[in-house]
Amino acid sequence: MAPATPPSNTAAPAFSLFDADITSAPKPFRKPGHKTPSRRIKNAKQIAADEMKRIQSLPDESRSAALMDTPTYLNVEAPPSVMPRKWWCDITGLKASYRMPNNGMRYHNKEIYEVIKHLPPGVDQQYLQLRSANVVLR
Amino acid sequence: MAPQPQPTSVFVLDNGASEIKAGLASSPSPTIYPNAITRSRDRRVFIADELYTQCKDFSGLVYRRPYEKGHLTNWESEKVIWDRVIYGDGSSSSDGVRPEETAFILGEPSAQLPVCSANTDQIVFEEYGFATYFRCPSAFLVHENDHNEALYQTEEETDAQPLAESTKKNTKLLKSDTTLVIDSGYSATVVTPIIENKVYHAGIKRLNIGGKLLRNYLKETISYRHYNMMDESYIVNEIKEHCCYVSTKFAADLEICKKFSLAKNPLAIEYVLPRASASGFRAGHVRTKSEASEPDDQILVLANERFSIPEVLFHPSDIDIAQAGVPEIIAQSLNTIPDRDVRNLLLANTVFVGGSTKFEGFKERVSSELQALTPDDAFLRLGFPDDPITYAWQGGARLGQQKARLRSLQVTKKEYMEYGSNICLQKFGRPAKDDREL
Repeated sequence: MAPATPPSNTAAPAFSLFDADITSAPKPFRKPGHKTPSRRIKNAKQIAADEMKRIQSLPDESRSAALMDTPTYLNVEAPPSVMPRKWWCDITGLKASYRMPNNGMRYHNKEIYEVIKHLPPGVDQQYLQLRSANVVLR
Repeated sequence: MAPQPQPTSVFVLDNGASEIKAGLASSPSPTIYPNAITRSRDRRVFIADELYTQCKDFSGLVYRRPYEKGHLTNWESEKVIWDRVIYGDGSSSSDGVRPEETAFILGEPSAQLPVCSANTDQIVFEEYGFATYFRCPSAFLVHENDHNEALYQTEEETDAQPLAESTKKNTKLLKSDTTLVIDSGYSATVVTPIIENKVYHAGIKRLNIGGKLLRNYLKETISYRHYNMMDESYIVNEIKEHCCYVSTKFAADLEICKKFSLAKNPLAIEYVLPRASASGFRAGHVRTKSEASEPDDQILVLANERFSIPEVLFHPSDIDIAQAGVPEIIAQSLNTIPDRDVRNLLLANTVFVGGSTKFEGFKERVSSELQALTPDDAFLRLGFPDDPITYAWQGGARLGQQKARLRSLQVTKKEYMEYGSNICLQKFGRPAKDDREL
Protein backbone atom coordinates (compact mmCIF):
# COMPACT_ATOMS: atom_id res chain seq x y z
CA MET A 1 0.00 0.00 0.00
CA ALA A 2 2.58 2.53 1.07
CA PRO A 3 5.51 2.75 -1.42
CA ALA A 4 8.17 2.15 1.24
CA THR A 5 8.14 1.50 4.95
CA PRO A 6 9.84 4.11 7.12
CA PRO A 7 12.96 2.86 9.00
CA SER A 8 11.98 1.33 12.27
CA ASN A 9 14.89 2.50 14.42
CA THR A 10 13.99 6.20 14.29
CA ALA A 11 11.42 7.69 16.63
CA ALA A 12 8.03 7.60 14.97
CA PRO A 13 7.26 11.17 13.77
CA ALA A 14 3.85 12.68 14.44
CA PHE A 15 3.21 13.13 10.70
CA SER A 16 4.41 10.47 8.26
CA LEU A 17 4.79 11.35 4.63
CA PHE A 18 4.54 7.73 3.68
CA ASP A 19 1.14 7.33 5.28
CA ALA A 20 -0.12 10.55 3.73
CA ASP A 21 0.79 9.35 0.22
CA ILE A 22 -2.45 8.58 -1.55
CA THR A 23 -1.16 7.98 -5.08
CA SER A 24 -0.89 4.25 -4.68
CA ALA A 25 -4.10 3.77 -2.71
CA PRO A 26 -6.73 1.85 -4.63
CA LYS A 27 -9.31 4.07 -6.30
CA PRO A 28 -12.29 1.91 -7.27
CA PHE A 29 -14.20 4.91 -8.61
CA ARG A 30 -11.65 5.48 -11.41
CA LYS A 31 -11.87 3.51 -14.69
CA PRO A 32 -8.65 1.48 -15.03
CA GLY A 33 -7.85 2.15 -18.70
CA HIS A 34 -8.91 5.77 -18.78
CA LYS A 35 -6.59 8.16 -20.59
CA THR A 36 -7.25 11.87 -20.81
CA PRO A 37 -7.73 12.86 -24.44
CA SER A 38 -4.57 14.49 -25.61
CA ARG A 39 -5.23 17.95 -26.95
CA ARG A 40 -1.61 18.95 -27.26
CA ILE A 41 -1.20 17.57 -30.76
CA LYS A 42 -1.14 20.32 -33.34
CA ASN A 43 -1.71 19.43 -36.94
CA ALA A 44 0.43 20.65 -39.79
CA LYS A 45 -1.70 23.71 -40.57
CA GLN A 46 -1.57 24.90 -36.94
CA ILE A 47 2.18 24.40 -36.74
CA ALA A 48 2.74 26.33 -39.95
CA ALA A 49 0.41 29.10 -38.72
CA ASP A 50 2.25 29.25 -35.38
CA GLU A 51 5.54 29.58 -37.18
CA MET A 52 4.22 32.46 -39.31
CA LYS A 53 2.85 34.16 -36.19
CA ARG A 54 6.18 33.80 -34.44
CA ILE A 55 8.00 35.31 -37.41
CA GLN A 56 5.53 38.21 -37.63
CA SER A 57 6.01 38.98 -33.96
CA LEU A 58 9.78 39.30 -34.26
CA PRO A 59 11.27 42.82 -34.18
CA ASP A 60 11.52 44.44 -37.62
CA GLU A 61 15.18 43.72 -38.37
CA SER A 62 15.04 39.99 -37.67
CA ARG A 63 11.62 39.69 -39.22
CA SER A 64 12.76 40.58 -42.73
CA ALA A 65 15.73 38.27 -42.29
CA ALA A 66 13.48 35.45 -41.12
CA LEU A 67 11.08 35.93 -43.99
CA MET A 68 13.52 36.24 -46.85
CA ASP A 69 17.14 35.53 -46.06
CA THR A 70 17.06 32.57 -43.76
CA PRO A 71 15.71 29.32 -45.16
CA THR A 72 12.82 27.90 -43.17
CA TYR A 73 10.41 25.11 -44.01
CA LEU A 74 7.95 27.69 -45.24
CA ASN A 75 10.22 29.38 -47.73
CA VAL A 76 12.30 26.55 -49.19
CA GLU A 77 9.46 25.80 -51.58
CA ALA A 78 10.63 25.73 -55.16
CA PRO A 79 9.49 28.75 -57.14
CA PRO A 80 7.48 28.43 -60.38
CA SER A 81 9.12 27.34 -63.57
CA VAL A 82 10.54 29.74 -66.13
CA MET A 83 10.08 27.27 -68.98
CA PRO A 84 7.10 27.80 -71.28
CA ARG A 85 4.09 26.06 -69.86
CA LYS A 86 2.25 23.21 -71.60
CA TRP A 87 -1.49 23.69 -71.92
CA TRP A 88 -4.06 20.94 -72.17
CA CYS A 89 -7.47 21.16 -73.79
CA ASP A 90 -10.26 21.76 -71.32
CA ILE A 91 -12.63 19.41 -73.11
CA THR A 92 -10.54 16.55 -74.48
CA GLY A 93 -7.31 16.65 -72.48
CA LEU A 94 -5.20 16.67 -75.64
CA LYS A 95 -2.47 19.19 -76.31
CA ALA A 96 -4.02 22.64 -76.51
CA SER A 97 -2.36 25.01 -78.92
CA TYR A 98 -5.21 27.49 -79.05
CA ARG A 99 -7.02 29.77 -76.63
CA MET A 100 -10.49 31.26 -76.74
CA PRO A 101 -10.02 35.00 -76.53
CA ASN A 102 -13.22 35.81 -74.64
CA ASN A 103 -12.97 33.44 -71.68
CA GLY A 104 -9.49 31.89 -71.91
CA MET A 105 -10.50 28.27 -72.46
CA ARG A 106 -7.87 26.12 -74.11
CA TYR A 107 -8.79 23.81 -76.99
CA HIS A 108 -7.15 21.30 -79.31
CA ASN A 109 -8.55 21.92 -82.79
CA LYS A 110 -11.33 23.56 -84.76
CA GLU A 111 -13.83 20.76 -84.05
CA ILE A 112 -13.66 21.54 -80.37
CA TYR A 113 -13.80 25.23 -81.11
CA GLU A 114 -17.20 24.66 -82.71
CA VAL A 115 -18.35 22.99 -79.47
CA ILE A 116 -16.96 25.62 -77.15
CA LYS A 117 -18.32 28.51 -79.20
CA HIS A 118 -21.87 27.56 -78.32
CA LEU A 119 -21.54 26.59 -74.66
CA PRO A 120 -24.33 27.94 -72.43
CA PRO A 121 -23.35 30.92 -70.24
CA GLY A 122 -22.24 29.30 -66.97
CA VAL A 123 -20.82 26.09 -68.37
CA ASP A 124 -17.58 27.58 -69.68
CA GLN A 125 -16.83 29.00 -66.24
CA GLN A 126 -17.46 25.56 -64.77
CA TYR A 127 -14.85 24.09 -67.14
CA LEU A 128 -12.42 26.80 -66.10
CA GLN A 129 -13.18 26.12 -62.45
CA LEU A 130 -11.72 22.64 -62.89
CA ARG A 131 -8.33 24.24 -63.28
CA SER A 132 -9.04 27.21 -60.99
CA ALA A 133 -9.03 29.68 -63.86
CA ASN A 134 -12.61 30.86 -63.54
CA VAL A 135 -13.66 34.43 -62.82
CA VAL A 136 -14.80 34.85 -59.23
CA LEU A 137 -16.83 37.94 -58.49
CA ARG A 138 -16.77 39.04 -54.88
CA MET B 1 27.82 10.38 -9.88
CA ALA B 2 29.64 7.65 -11.77
CA PRO B 3 30.68 8.70 -15.29
CA GLN B 4 28.30 7.38 -17.92
CA PRO B 5 29.58 4.29 -19.66
CA GLN B 6 30.35 4.58 -23.35
CA PRO B 7 27.46 3.31 -25.44
CA THR B 8 28.09 -0.20 -26.67
CA SER B 9 26.16 -0.04 -29.93
CA VAL B 10 24.85 2.48 -32.42
CA PHE B 11 21.23 2.48 -33.53
CA VAL B 12 20.47 4.25 -36.79
CA LEU B 13 16.92 5.30 -37.56
CA ASP B 14 15.98 7.04 -40.81
CA ASN B 15 12.56 8.56 -40.11
CA GLY B 16 10.54 8.91 -43.28
CA ALA B 17 6.95 9.93 -43.85
CA SER B 18 6.19 6.63 -45.53
CA GLU B 19 8.68 4.20 -44.03
CA ILE B 20 11.10 3.97 -41.13
CA LYS B 21 14.42 2.34 -41.91
CA ALA B 22 16.06 1.27 -38.67
CA GLY B 23 18.66 -1.08 -37.35
CA LEU B 24 21.95 -1.38 -35.52
CA ALA B 25 24.84 0.19 -37.38
CA SER B 26 26.65 -3.14 -37.33
CA SER B 27 23.95 -4.92 -39.34
CA PRO B 28 24.30 -5.03 -43.14
CA SER B 29 20.85 -3.68 -43.91
CA PRO B 30 18.00 -2.01 -42.05
CA THR B 31 14.58 -3.30 -41.19
CA ILE B 32 11.89 -1.38 -42.99
CA TYR B 33 8.73 -0.50 -41.08
CA PRO B 34 5.81 1.37 -42.60
CA ASN B 35 5.51 4.57 -40.63
CA ALA B 36 1.78 4.33 -40.07
CA ILE B 37 -0.91 2.75 -37.96
CA THR B 38 -3.29 1.04 -40.32
CA ARG B 39 -6.81 -0.20 -39.84
CA SER B 40 -8.26 -2.82 -42.13
CA ARG B 41 -11.85 -3.13 -43.19
CA ASP B 42 -12.57 -5.69 -40.49
CA ARG B 43 -11.52 -3.13 -37.85
CA ARG B 44 -8.19 -4.70 -36.98
CA VAL B 45 -5.41 -2.31 -36.13
CA PHE B 46 -1.82 -2.91 -37.27
CA ILE B 47 1.18 -1.04 -35.98
CA ALA B 48 4.01 -0.50 -38.49
CA ASP B 49 5.16 -3.82 -39.95
CA GLU B 50 2.35 -5.87 -38.42
CA LEU B 51 0.64 -4.89 -41.66
CA TYR B 52 2.81 -7.24 -43.68
CA THR B 53 2.78 -10.14 -41.28
CA GLN B 54 -0.77 -10.12 -39.99
CA CYS B 55 -3.03 -8.39 -42.49
CA LYS B 56 -4.93 -10.69 -44.82
CA ASP B 57 -7.00 -8.24 -46.80
CA PHE B 58 -5.39 -5.09 -48.12
CA SER B 59 -8.53 -3.52 -49.52
CA GLY B 60 -10.00 -0.58 -47.71
CA LEU B 61 -6.94 0.08 -45.56
CA VAL B 62 -7.08 3.32 -43.62
CA TYR B 63 -3.77 4.87 -42.69
CA ARG B 64 -2.99 7.10 -39.74
CA ARG B 65 0.40 8.69 -40.26
CA PRO B 66 2.40 10.71 -37.76
CA TYR B 67 3.78 12.77 -40.62
CA GLU B 68 1.43 15.32 -42.09
CA LYS B 69 2.53 17.32 -45.14
CA GLY B 70 6.12 16.52 -44.21
CA HIS B 71 5.86 17.70 -40.57
CA LEU B 72 6.06 15.22 -37.69
CA THR B 73 3.00 16.44 -35.85
CA ASN B 74 1.49 13.39 -34.21
CA TRP B 75 3.87 12.08 -31.55
CA GLU B 76 1.13 9.97 -30.02
CA SER B 77 1.18 7.69 -33.07
CA GLU B 78 4.87 8.02 -33.68
CA LYS B 79 5.69 6.95 -30.12
CA VAL B 80 3.66 3.76 -30.57
CA ILE B 81 5.51 2.98 -33.79
CA TRP B 82 8.90 3.85 -32.36
CA ASP B 83 8.25 1.62 -29.34
CA ARG B 84 7.88 -1.25 -31.75
CA VAL B 85 10.94 -0.24 -33.77
CA ILE B 86 13.21 0.37 -30.78
CA TYR B 87 12.06 -2.18 -28.26
CA GLY B 88 11.08 -4.84 -30.76
CA ASP B 89 7.82 -6.69 -30.82
CA GLY B 90 8.58 -9.04 -27.95
CA SER B 91 9.22 -12.02 -30.21
CA SER B 92 12.52 -13.81 -30.18
CA SER B 93 13.32 -12.97 -33.81
CA SER B 94 13.63 -9.25 -33.18
CA ASP B 95 15.74 -8.16 -30.25
CA GLY B 96 15.04 -4.72 -29.06
CA VAL B 97 17.62 -2.17 -28.20
CA ARG B 98 18.40 -0.89 -24.71
CA PRO B 99 18.42 2.87 -25.14
CA GLU B 100 20.48 3.65 -22.02
CA GLU B 101 23.53 1.99 -23.54
CA THR B 102 22.96 2.86 -27.19
CA ALA B 103 24.08 5.76 -29.32
CA PHE B 104 21.27 7.04 -31.51
CA ILE B 105 21.57 8.46 -35.02
CA LEU B 106 18.36 9.93 -36.40
CA GLY B 107 17.73 11.06 -39.96
CA GLU B 108 14.81 13.40 -40.49
CA PRO B 109 13.47 15.19 -43.58
CA SER B 110 15.36 18.25 -44.79
CA ALA B 111 14.23 21.68 -43.59
CA GLN B 112 11.96 20.43 -40.81
CA LEU B 113 10.26 23.07 -38.75
CA PRO B 114 12.39 23.61 -35.63
CA VAL B 115 9.42 22.99 -33.36
CA CYS B 116 9.00 19.47 -34.75
CA SER B 117 12.70 18.75 -34.35
CA ALA B 118 12.66 20.06 -30.79
CA ASN B 119 9.78 17.76 -29.90
CA THR B 120 11.77 14.88 -31.35
CA ASP B 121 14.81 15.80 -29.23
CA GLN B 122 12.69 15.83 -26.10
CA ILE B 123 11.14 12.47 -26.84
CA VAL B 124 14.51 10.88 -27.56
CA PHE B 125 16.03 11.91 -24.26
CA GLU B 126 13.09 12.06 -21.90
CA GLU B 127 10.95 9.17 -23.07
CA TYR B 128 13.56 6.74 -24.34
CA GLY B 129 16.68 7.99 -22.62
CA PHE B 130 19.29 7.21 -25.24
CA ALA B 131 22.89 7.52 -24.12
CA THR B 132 23.88 9.82 -26.97
CA TYR B 133 21.98 11.35 -29.87
CA PHE B 134 22.77 12.81 -33.26
CA ARG B 135 20.04 14.21 -35.45
CA CYS B 136 20.55 15.41 -39.01
CA PRO B 137 18.66 15.73 -42.27
CA SER B 138 18.62 12.35 -43.98
CA ALA B 139 20.32 14.02 -46.94
CA PHE B 140 23.37 14.32 -44.70
CA LEU B 141 23.26 10.58 -44.07
CA VAL B 142 23.08 10.01 -47.82
CA HIS B 143 26.20 12.15 -48.14
CA GLU B 144 28.02 9.97 -45.61
CA ASN B 145 28.19 7.10 -48.09
CA ASP B 146 31.25 6.82 -50.26
CA HIS B 147 29.59 7.42 -53.61
CA ASN B 148 32.73 6.81 -55.59
CA GLU B 149 32.78 3.25 -54.35
CA ALA B 150 29.09 2.63 -54.26
CA LEU B 151 27.67 4.50 -57.22
CA TYR B 152 30.02 5.91 -59.79
CA GLN B 153 32.43 3.07 -60.23
CA THR B 154 30.29 1.39 -62.81
CA GLU B 155 30.00 4.48 -65.03
CA GLU B 156 31.37 3.82 -68.49
CA GLU B 157 34.04 6.16 -69.66
CA THR B 158 33.18 8.23 -72.69
CA ASP B 159 34.92 7.56 -75.98
CA ALA B 160 36.16 11.12 -76.02
CA GLN B 161 38.24 10.69 -72.87
CA PRO B 162 39.33 7.12 -72.42
CA LEU B 163 41.22 6.67 -69.19
CA ALA B 164 44.68 5.19 -69.52
CA GLU B 165 45.11 1.79 -67.93
CA SER B 166 47.68 3.13 -65.51
CA THR B 167 45.35 5.91 -64.45
CA LYS B 168 42.60 3.46 -63.75
CA LYS B 169 44.88 1.34 -61.63
CA ASN B 170 46.53 4.10 -59.65
CA THR B 171 43.75 6.54 -59.06
CA LYS B 172 41.47 5.92 -56.16
CA LEU B 173 38.96 8.66 -55.99
CA LEU B 174 38.70 10.28 -52.58
CA LYS B 175 35.36 10.58 -50.91
CA SER B 176 33.92 13.90 -51.90
CA ASP B 177 32.91 16.36 -49.22
CA THR B 178 30.29 17.89 -51.50
CA THR B 179 27.14 16.15 -52.61
CA LEU B 180 23.86 17.21 -54.18
CA VAL B 181 21.15 14.99 -52.72
CA ILE B 182 17.78 14.80 -54.43
CA ASP B 183 15.31 12.97 -52.22
CA SER B 184 12.04 12.19 -53.96
CA GLY B 185 10.05 10.62 -51.18
CA TYR B 186 6.50 10.34 -49.97
CA SER B 187 5.68 13.94 -49.05
CA ALA B 188 7.89 15.94 -51.36
CA THR B 189 10.98 16.09 -53.53
CA VAL B 190 13.74 18.00 -51.82
CA VAL B 191 17.08 19.08 -53.27
CA THR B 192 19.71 19.46 -50.56
CA PRO B 193 23.23 20.62 -51.42
CA ILE B 194 25.87 19.52 -48.95
CA ILE B 195 29.03 21.57 -49.25
CA GLU B 196 32.18 20.78 -47.28
CA ASN B 197 30.31 18.27 -45.14
CA LYS B 198 27.69 20.79 -44.02
CA VAL B 199 24.15 21.15 -45.23
CA TYR B 200 23.84 24.35 -47.25
CA HIS B 201 20.44 25.47 -46.06
CA ALA B 202 20.05 28.38 -48.44
CA GLY B 203 20.14 25.98 -51.36
CA ILE B 204 17.40 23.63 -50.19
CA LYS B 205 14.50 23.57 -52.61
CA ARG B 206 11.31 21.62 -51.99
CA LEU B 207 8.85 20.54 -54.66
CA ASN B 208 5.58 19.50 -53.07
CA ILE B 209 5.19 16.44 -55.27
CA GLY B 210 6.01 13.02 -53.89
CA GLY B 211 4.71 9.49 -53.82
CA LYS B 212 1.62 10.59 -51.92
CA LEU B 213 0.51 13.08 -54.54
CA LEU B 214 1.25 10.69 -57.41
CA ARG B 215 -0.75 7.98 -55.72
CA ASN B 216 -3.69 10.31 -55.08
CA TYR B 217 -3.60 11.58 -58.65
CA LEU B 218 -3.66 7.99 -59.92
CA LYS B 219 -6.54 7.24 -57.55
CA GLU B 220 -8.59 10.12 -58.94
CA THR B 221 -7.79 9.19 -62.53
CA ILE B 222 -8.72 5.55 -62.08
CA SER B 223 -11.86 6.47 -60.16
CA TYR B 224 -12.92 8.82 -62.92
CA ARG B 225 -12.24 6.45 -65.78
CA HIS B 226 -12.60 2.91 -64.51
CA TYR B 227 -13.49 1.76 -61.00
CA ASN B 228 -14.02 3.80 -57.86
CA MET B 229 -10.83 3.27 -55.90
CA MET B 230 -10.84 6.36 -53.72
CA ASP B 231 -10.66 4.22 -50.57
CA GLU B 232 -7.97 1.88 -51.77
CA SER B 233 -4.70 3.63 -50.96
CA TYR B 234 -2.62 0.48 -50.64
CA ILE B 235 -3.85 -1.10 -53.84
CA VAL B 236 -3.45 2.04 -55.92
CA ASN B 237 0.05 2.45 -54.54
CA GLU B 238 0.88 -1.05 -55.79
CA ILE B 239 -0.59 -0.22 -59.19
CA LYS B 240 1.55 2.89 -59.35
CA GLU B 241 4.68 0.93 -58.51
CA HIS B 242 3.96 -1.88 -60.96
CA CYS B 243 2.55 -0.02 -63.92
CA CYS B 244 3.79 3.55 -64.06
CA TYR B 245 6.92 4.68 -65.80
CA VAL B 246 8.49 7.96 -66.89
CA SER B 247 8.33 8.49 -70.62
CA THR B 248 11.34 10.00 -72.38
CA LYS B 249 9.18 11.13 -75.28
CA PHE B 250 5.93 12.20 -73.73
CA ALA B 251 4.21 13.79 -76.71
CA ALA B 252 4.92 10.81 -78.94
CA ASP B 253 3.61 8.36 -76.37
CA LEU B 254 0.48 10.43 -75.95
CA GLU B 255 -0.03 10.35 -79.73
CA ILE B 256 0.28 6.56 -79.70
CA CYS B 257 -2.36 6.33 -77.00
CA LYS B 258 -4.60 8.65 -78.97
CA LYS B 259 -4.21 6.67 -82.19
CA PHE B 260 -4.86 3.16 -80.93
CA SER B 261 -7.81 1.80 -79.04
CA LEU B 262 -7.15 0.27 -75.65
CA ALA B 263 -7.17 -3.25 -77.06
CA LYS B 264 -4.49 -2.56 -79.72
CA ASN B 265 -2.41 0.02 -77.85
CA PRO B 266 1.16 -1.25 -77.53
CA LEU B 267 1.65 0.81 -74.40
CA ALA B 268 -1.47 -0.41 -72.60
CA ILE B 269 -1.21 -3.10 -69.97
CA GLU B 270 -3.75 -5.08 -68.03
CA TYR B 271 -3.48 -5.13 -64.28
CA VAL B 272 -5.25 -7.86 -62.35
CA LEU B 273 -6.60 -6.37 -59.15
CA PRO B 274 -5.80 -8.18 -55.91
CA ARG B 275 -8.47 -10.22 -54.24
CA ALA B 276 -8.93 -11.94 -50.95
CA SER B 277 -10.31 -15.36 -51.71
CA ALA B 278 -10.92 -18.49 -49.68
CA SER B 279 -7.52 -19.86 -50.65
CA GLY B 280 -5.73 -16.78 -49.37
CA PHE B 281 -4.86 -13.34 -50.59
CA ARG B 282 -3.85 -13.07 -54.23
CA ALA B 283 -1.70 -10.04 -54.81
CA GLY B 284 -2.31 -7.71 -57.71
CA HIS B 285 -0.04 -8.15 -60.71
CA VAL B 286 0.39 -7.15 -64.32
CA ARG B 287 -1.13 -9.70 -66.64
CA THR B 288 1.32 -11.15 -69.10
CA LYS B 289 0.12 -12.28 -72.55
CA SER B 290 0.52 -15.96 -71.83
CA GLU B 291 -1.46 -15.85 -68.62
CA ALA B 292 -4.97 -17.20 -68.71
CA SER B 293 -7.55 -14.98 -67.15
CA GLU B 294 -9.69 -16.45 -64.42
CA PRO B 295 -13.39 -15.79 -64.67
CA ASP B 296 -13.74 -13.61 -61.59
CA ASP B 297 -10.65 -11.50 -62.20
CA GLN B 298 -11.11 -7.78 -62.13
CA ILE B 299 -8.95 -6.21 -64.77
CA LEU B 300 -7.83 -2.63 -64.99
CA VAL B 301 -6.50 -1.49 -68.35
CA LEU B 302 -4.08 1.40 -68.10
CA ALA B 303 -2.66 3.24 -71.08
CA ASN B 304 -1.74 6.89 -70.86
CA GLU B 305 -2.13 6.89 -67.06
CA ARG B 306 1.08 4.85 -67.00
CA PHE B 307 3.26 7.76 -68.02
CA SER B 308 1.13 10.84 -67.45
CA ILE B 309 1.04 10.32 -63.67
CA PRO B 310 4.83 10.45 -63.17
CA GLU B 311 5.00 13.24 -65.76
CA VAL B 312 3.75 15.50 -62.97
CA LEU B 313 7.22 15.27 -61.41
CA PHE B 314 8.60 17.00 -64.48
CA HIS B 315 5.67 19.30 -65.32
CA PRO B 316 3.76 20.16 -62.13
CA SER B 317 1.85 22.73 -64.15
CA ASP B 318 -0.10 19.81 -65.65
CA ILE B 319 -2.17 19.74 -62.48
CA ASP B 320 -1.87 23.47 -61.84
CA ILE B 321 0.87 23.32 -59.22
CA ALA B 322 2.85 26.52 -59.65
CA GLN B 323 6.27 25.00 -59.13
CA ALA B 324 9.07 23.88 -61.37
CA GLY B 325 9.77 20.22 -62.16
CA VAL B 326 12.58 18.09 -60.78
CA PRO B 327 15.37 19.05 -63.23
CA GLU B 328 14.53 22.70 -62.86
CA ILE B 329 14.52 22.73 -59.06
CA ILE B 330 18.00 21.22 -59.25
CA ALA B 331 18.99 24.17 -61.43
CA GLN B 332 17.27 26.58 -59.01
CA SER B 333 19.14 25.09 -56.10
CA LEU B 334 22.46 25.44 -57.93
CA ASN B 335 21.69 29.05 -58.77
CA THR B 336 21.71 29.92 -55.06
CA ILE B 337 25.41 29.06 -54.95
CA PRO B 338 27.68 31.87 -56.14
CA ASP B 339 30.81 29.81 -56.71
CA ARG B 340 30.99 28.17 -60.11
CA ASP B 341 33.50 25.54 -59.04
CA VAL B 342 31.25 24.44 -56.20
CA ARG B 343 28.33 24.21 -58.63
CA ASN B 344 30.33 21.97 -60.94
CA LEU B 345 31.46 19.89 -58.00
CA LEU B 346 27.86 19.41 -56.95
CA LEU B 347 26.85 18.37 -60.46
CA ALA B 348 29.63 15.80 -60.47
CA ASN B 349 28.35 14.32 -57.21
CA THR B 350 24.58 14.02 -57.42
CA VAL B 351 22.66 11.23 -55.71
CA PHE B 352 19.00 10.42 -56.25
CA VAL B 353 17.30 8.68 -53.34
CA GLY B 354 13.73 8.07 -52.34
CA GLY B 355 11.02 5.78 -53.58
CA SER B 356 9.75 8.05 -56.34
CA THR B 357 13.07 7.85 -58.17
CA LYS B 358 12.48 4.17 -58.82
CA PHE B 359 10.25 4.77 -61.82
CA GLU B 360 11.55 3.18 -64.98
CA GLY B 361 12.90 5.88 -67.26
CA PHE B 362 13.36 8.44 -64.47
CA LYS B 363 17.12 8.36 -64.79
CA GLU B 364 17.19 8.91 -68.55
CA ARG B 365 14.64 11.69 -68.40
CA VAL B 366 16.40 13.58 -65.61
CA SER B 367 19.75 13.16 -67.37
CA SER B 368 18.57 14.63 -70.62
CA GLU B 369 16.61 17.50 -69.07
CA LEU B 370 19.34 18.39 -66.61
CA GLN B 371 21.93 18.46 -69.39
CA ALA B 372 19.83 21.10 -71.08
CA LEU B 373 19.76 23.26 -67.95
CA THR B 374 23.42 23.09 -66.95
CA PRO B 375 26.51 24.53 -68.64
CA ASP B 376 28.12 22.56 -71.45
CA ASP B 377 31.41 22.14 -69.70
CA ALA B 378 29.88 20.79 -66.48
CA PHE B 379 30.61 17.12 -65.92
CA LEU B 380 27.31 15.55 -64.87
CA ARG B 381 27.43 12.44 -62.75
CA LEU B 382 24.04 11.28 -61.59
CA GLY B 383 24.13 8.58 -58.97
CA PHE B 384 21.23 6.16 -58.65
CA PRO B 385 21.84 3.68 -55.83
CA ASP B 386 20.68 0.10 -56.16
CA ASP B 387 18.33 0.57 -53.27
CA PRO B 388 17.29 4.21 -53.07
CA ILE B 389 15.14 3.62 -50.02
CA THR B 390 17.83 2.30 -47.70
CA TYR B 391 20.75 4.34 -49.06
CA ALA B 392 20.41 7.03 -46.38
CA TRP B 393 20.40 4.38 -43.65
CA GLN B 394 23.57 2.86 -45.16
CA GLY B 395 25.21 6.25 -44.79
CA GLY B 396 24.06 6.42 -41.19
CA ALA B 397 25.50 2.98 -40.53
CA ARG B 398 28.79 4.09 -42.07
CA LEU B 399 28.78 7.16 -39.81
CA GLY B 400 28.03 4.92 -36.85
CA GLN B 401 31.26 3.02 -37.43
CA GLN B 402 33.31 6.23 -37.22
CA LYS B 403 33.30 6.46 -33.44
CA ALA B 404 35.56 9.48 -33.01
CA ARG B 405 33.72 11.60 -35.56
CA LEU B 406 30.35 10.64 -34.11
CA ARG B 407 31.58 11.60 -30.64
CA SER B 408 32.33 15.11 -31.87
CA LEU B 409 28.91 15.51 -33.47
CA GLN B 410 26.58 14.02 -30.90
CA VAL B 411 24.85 15.25 -27.76
CA THR B 412 25.10 13.06 -24.66
CA LYS B 413 22.31 12.59 -22.18
CA LYS B 414 24.39 14.33 -19.52
CA GLU B 415 24.73 17.42 -21.71
CA TYR B 416 21.02 17.40 -22.40
CA MET B 417 20.18 17.21 -18.71
CA GLU B 418 22.54 20.08 -17.97
CA TYR B 419 21.78 22.48 -20.79
CA GLY B 420 18.34 21.49 -21.94
CA SER B 421 17.07 21.09 -25.47
CA ASN B 422 18.89 24.19 -26.70
CA ILE B 423 22.11 22.21 -26.80
CA CYS B 424 20.56 20.10 -29.55
CA LEU B 425 19.67 23.17 -31.58
CA GLN B 426 23.16 24.47 -31.17
CA LYS B 427 25.07 21.32 -31.97
CA PHE B 428 22.95 20.02 -34.82
CA GLY B 429 22.96 23.32 -36.58
CA ARG B 430 20.02 25.39 -37.54
CA PRO B 431 19.32 27.09 -40.82
CA ALA B 432 19.39 30.63 -39.47
CA LYS B 433 22.29 32.47 -38.02
CA ASP B 434 20.01 34.56 -35.84
CA ASP B 435 19.08 32.95 -32.56
CA ARG B 436 15.62 31.78 -31.82
CA GLU B 437 14.10 31.15 -28.46
CA LEU B 438 11.93 28.10 -28.24
